[in-house]
Amino acid sequence: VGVLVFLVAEGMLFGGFVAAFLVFRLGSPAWPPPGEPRLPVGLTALNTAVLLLSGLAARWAIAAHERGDRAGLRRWLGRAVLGGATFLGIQGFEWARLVRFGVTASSSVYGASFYALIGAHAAHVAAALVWLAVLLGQVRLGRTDRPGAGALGAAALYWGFVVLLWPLLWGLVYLW
Amino acid sequence: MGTRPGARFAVYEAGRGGLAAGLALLPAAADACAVCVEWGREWQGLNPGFYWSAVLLTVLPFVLVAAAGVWLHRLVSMADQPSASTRPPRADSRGLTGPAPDRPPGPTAVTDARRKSR
Repeated sequence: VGVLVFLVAEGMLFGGFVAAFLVFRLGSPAWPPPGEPRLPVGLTALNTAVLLLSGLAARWAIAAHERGDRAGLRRWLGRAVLGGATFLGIQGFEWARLVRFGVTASSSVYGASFYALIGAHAAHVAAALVWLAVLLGQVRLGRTDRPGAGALGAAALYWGFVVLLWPLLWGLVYLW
Repeated sequence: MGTRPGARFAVYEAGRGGLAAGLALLPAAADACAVCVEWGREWQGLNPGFYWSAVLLTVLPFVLVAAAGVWLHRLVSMADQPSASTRPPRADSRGLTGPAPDRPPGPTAVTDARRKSR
């Protein structure tokens, strides 16, 4: 329940970012503003698929945990972490390209709204990834007989929130 | 010369009510935007932007709390359902809980046999 309350608060945080983005997006006659580059759709579509598959892997890890299948839990949790790390890697590559184009958080409203919204999401992915990696380490090292059902369930719930939020942000920022 | 505090409060309340009614009747005054400072002609779409963001932020808390409620309800109803291992065996149409032909003669079967012999 604690994680659920936290996620509701997180939802409001992202709601605030999206509201600010809407003000700038609808207020501007052209988007992206003249002189600003278009955001890459193809690469980020692939990245979206990677993140969704990673969310699915986390779901299957939970299913394996419920069956008492420790090898399955280890395998699927590992794939979820790998998917999340790949997503962050591709994001980092894309951001480096944008910075080379001159789009930074302080360069324009376009850059500021992009980095605030997508950056906040990336920070959440990174935090969730650390959480999942710690759980994976516990399972692999066998320090605990099995991670507490609450800890694993909470991590999976948080990861599910981060994963399901991304297609909305992607559609809003990259496709619209 | 002093006025009673109750009367002063009533005048204050009436003034506030009048001001609210006046603002409601003058939409141009009510539409005043605290952050719309010299946006220039290129920011003409700002009003729809503020409108949709206000709608989003008004609706979002209800959506989030409802989603959390549905999630919790689902968890509770799943926890209430007994699992396959703990569920008692289902009774058939005759009210028997096991396969009748294979059932070994238990105490009930012995009593039935005694009844028949009488």
